[in-house]
Amino acid sequence: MSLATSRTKDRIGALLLLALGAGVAWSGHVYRVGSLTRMGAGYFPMLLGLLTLGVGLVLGLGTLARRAPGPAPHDPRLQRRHGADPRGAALLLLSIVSFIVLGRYGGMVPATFACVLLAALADRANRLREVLLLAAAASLLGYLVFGLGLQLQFNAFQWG
Amino acid sequence: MGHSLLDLWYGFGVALQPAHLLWAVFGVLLGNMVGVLPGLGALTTISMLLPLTYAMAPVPAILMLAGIFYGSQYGGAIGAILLNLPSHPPHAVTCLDGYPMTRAGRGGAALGVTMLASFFAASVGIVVMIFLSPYLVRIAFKFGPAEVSSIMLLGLLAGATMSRGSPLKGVAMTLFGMMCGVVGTDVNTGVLRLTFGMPSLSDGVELGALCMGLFAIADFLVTVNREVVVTGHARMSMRDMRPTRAELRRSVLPMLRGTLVGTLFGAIPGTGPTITTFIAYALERKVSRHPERFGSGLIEGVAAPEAASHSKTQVDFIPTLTLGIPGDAVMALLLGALILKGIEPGPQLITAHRDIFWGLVASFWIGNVLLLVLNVPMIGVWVRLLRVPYRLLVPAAVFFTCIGVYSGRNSLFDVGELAVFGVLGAVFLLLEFPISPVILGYVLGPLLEENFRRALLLSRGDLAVFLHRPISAGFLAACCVVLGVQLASWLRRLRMAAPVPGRALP
Amino acid sequence: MSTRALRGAPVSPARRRMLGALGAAWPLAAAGTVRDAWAQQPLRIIVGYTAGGAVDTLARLVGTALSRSLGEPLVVEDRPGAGGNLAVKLMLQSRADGRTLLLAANALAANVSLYRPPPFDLERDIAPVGMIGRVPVLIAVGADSPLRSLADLLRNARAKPDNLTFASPGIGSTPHLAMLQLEHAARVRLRHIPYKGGAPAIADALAGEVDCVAVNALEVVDLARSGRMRVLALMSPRPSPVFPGVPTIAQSGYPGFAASVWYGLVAPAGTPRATVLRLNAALRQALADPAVRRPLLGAGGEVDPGTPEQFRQLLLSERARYAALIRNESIHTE
Repeated sequence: MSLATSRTKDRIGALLLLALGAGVAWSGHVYRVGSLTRMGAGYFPMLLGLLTLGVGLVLGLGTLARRAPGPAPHDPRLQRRHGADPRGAALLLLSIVSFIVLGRYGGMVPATFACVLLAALADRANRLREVLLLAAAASLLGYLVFGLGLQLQFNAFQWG
Repeated sequence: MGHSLLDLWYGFGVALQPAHLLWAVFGVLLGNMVGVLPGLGALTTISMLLPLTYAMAPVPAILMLAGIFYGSQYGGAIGAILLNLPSHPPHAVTCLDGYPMTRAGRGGAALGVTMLASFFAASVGIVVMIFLSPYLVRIAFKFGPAEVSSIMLLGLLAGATMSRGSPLKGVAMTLFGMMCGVVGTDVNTGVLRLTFGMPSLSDGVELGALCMGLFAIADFLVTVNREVVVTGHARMSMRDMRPTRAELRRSVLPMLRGTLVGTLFGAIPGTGPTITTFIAYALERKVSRHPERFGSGLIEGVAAPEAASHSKTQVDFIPTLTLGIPGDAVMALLLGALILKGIEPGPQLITAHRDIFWGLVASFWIGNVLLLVLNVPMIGVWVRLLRVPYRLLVPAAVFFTCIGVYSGRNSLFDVGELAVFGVLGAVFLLLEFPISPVILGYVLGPLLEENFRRALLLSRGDLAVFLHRPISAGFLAACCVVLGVQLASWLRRLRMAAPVPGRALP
Repeated sequence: MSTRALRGAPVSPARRRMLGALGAAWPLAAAGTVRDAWAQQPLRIIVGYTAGGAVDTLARLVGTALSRSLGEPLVVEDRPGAGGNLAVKLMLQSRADGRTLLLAANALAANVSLYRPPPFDLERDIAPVGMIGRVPVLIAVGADSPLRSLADLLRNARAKPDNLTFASPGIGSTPHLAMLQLEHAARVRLRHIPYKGGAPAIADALAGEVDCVAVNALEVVDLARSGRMRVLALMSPRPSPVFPGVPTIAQSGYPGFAASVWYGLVAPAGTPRATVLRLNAALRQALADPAVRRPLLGAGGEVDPGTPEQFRQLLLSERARYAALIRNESIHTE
């Protein structure tokens, strides 16, 4: 999954901005807009939405021009030669979700264990034994530091 | 002024008593440790430790709690620089140049400069606080809703165009951040906006979840299995961990500028540390001879925001102590701790409880000295900790982030927000949109809207109020300047890129 | 324990010292708790406002004393959000065994009318345990303000309707609703400037941006005492020695006018009656402690332990009062 060209990225970005802008502007309309000097709850959202639409439009139109896109930024954080690793990303997300679900139904310790386990599995370089050890260590440490030490209001174990 | 010096001397006497000193040290240590952990800020730590103070006398209790507060500030920089994990939103700016420095192997140096800048700025802040507090309070009162909204507008304009790469994308991200700020209850009408029927959103998006999601989680999502982050050389000598003389020299002016920004903004109510650090960073970029190098690991980009944050923190204590009006949630907690002890904060505090006020002021300085002495040797430890393989650091960081965000409001919903913003941040990164303007928009947008509407409410719809009040007019003029400069540079760029017929573009 | 001590023989000095040390350590033990399935079940007080605020502080004070008389460790859980509704929801999710309580204030009675659909049913979901006390709502101005008395304020307001501004901690907050009550009673019209909480409202009143501020007395006691703020009027039924010379609205020509912030403890409905009575007795005992009474009394309020039935009556009458007020002014937070 690699989004190679800058032009494609800008196009997708522009589309997302158009959708976002339209959505928020519409919500502004729902909340009653009012006027500049007597702003209703919807004025600001409407303004933001319209501005975003404008920016999206300009960005999109820029990609249509038959000239090279603007100077490339030097920031290494911004440049990705390949896109993200879908499996790894999915596991990371799943680890957060499992923290939430198990936090609600199982308690802090199971939530910690599952979270660290899944997040560690996301990286292909991690071996299962290391992963299990890390998860166990994190659960114990978490319980000691957050549960006992900082008195966090989070049941260590919970039955449903 | 002489009277203040006498009081200060008395304060040192109080603060240096063994029992008090012990608790202050404990607080400072704890705050520092906790500050390193992503997601866990001073607010959560203090509220968790409040029960411990019930059995303590007032002076040691407040010394400990205050120590936790500014201790966590020192700790927050560590996570931001070494791991790109801002445990505290103001540190998000420190990540921009701090983390690239770490990746270049200069993490230790960045930390060293940060500590020095923080100590210097905090000391200046304390001095200002002691001797200038009555004047500062008077200035603070001149900043009504009209002035604050003009400042916010300036901040937004400056910030939107500050990010690297396409300024258009910077504006887009600022707008997105402002939209995130709209989520919640509208102050002026009570209407719930963009909450999609979820009551947990009725007080808005959690700042911690937004920050950590967009910076840390998004980064993890995009780099897992893709990038190998070099976390440490095989052999790291002490020299690698110390800033070079050149780096130190280059940090002096940014440190001074950052301290100035922090002190000025510290006096202005309603401006948090986040906007202060952004402005300090933006200022550095504007005065730099190489603005395009920011974001790749310039020491100036680390020294200035950290200095601003620390001086602002110290100066922020003023309205809290002299008026009994908390500047933000952490101050409110500290005041609450005092009330629990039967001590009324407010103008009486200074006279009725001299030991607490001046002991606190003296302990600020002692605490900062302690933190400097503590953290400089610890830099080696922190940097060596980085030698833990990145693939093992990430799961631990994810866990800390989750539990840190949870601890803000004891809410798992907030952890859900973390996941959502992680995904959004990943999308932004993949599409090459800059992320820091989102935070700026999120913090400044609501303040702009709330104050603008309030100013108009008070002036009965008269827009001229923004120009009649001199301070507000001044900031609006600055906005015009910023806009003018930006437009000029855009026009220049368009003219340069305009195709000459028949010639292919490079 | 030796039988000698049990039979009431004089306790040796060493033992006395040990008991004294235990007594001093008890608050520490009561305050620090370990929450997991194996420890003794703690007393949980849920607070719908942020840590460090007046309500949270009060909850900790009362809770510590309560936990002492009940012999259970205490946990105060802050769950701010949605004007207190998130905390109510959390309480309703707990078992009705008397271990989980909510520190309620006026929002409990007002929210059922402020939010649509009503977030809970006051009669069906809530079991009142007992009231803690009240604090007056008051109107204050900065020391530099030209308004020197309530009469000044009302005269000004009548001369120029819809002109005088008052700050409040937020739409639907107790002081806001109290000012609406005043507007009705005195037949004046003021301009409402809502803020996010008491602190910024007070700050702008001090600065003179707004003409006056309506706020919980707890938040301005010290400012008033030091002279930086002037209290124009109290909205409690009776005047208070904490604010000498300040009249109440009732005294100023509107007999029967009263608006206070009240605090109390409630439990989920279905809590056994015996448990409720036991909690109420422990609450009364806790409220006899001067350290617990100090914040409320110091702000010109009253500590008012009553029976659960009396608290229920208050809740119902407040609900009706707020419902009418909110309907008339069509305030809504959706």
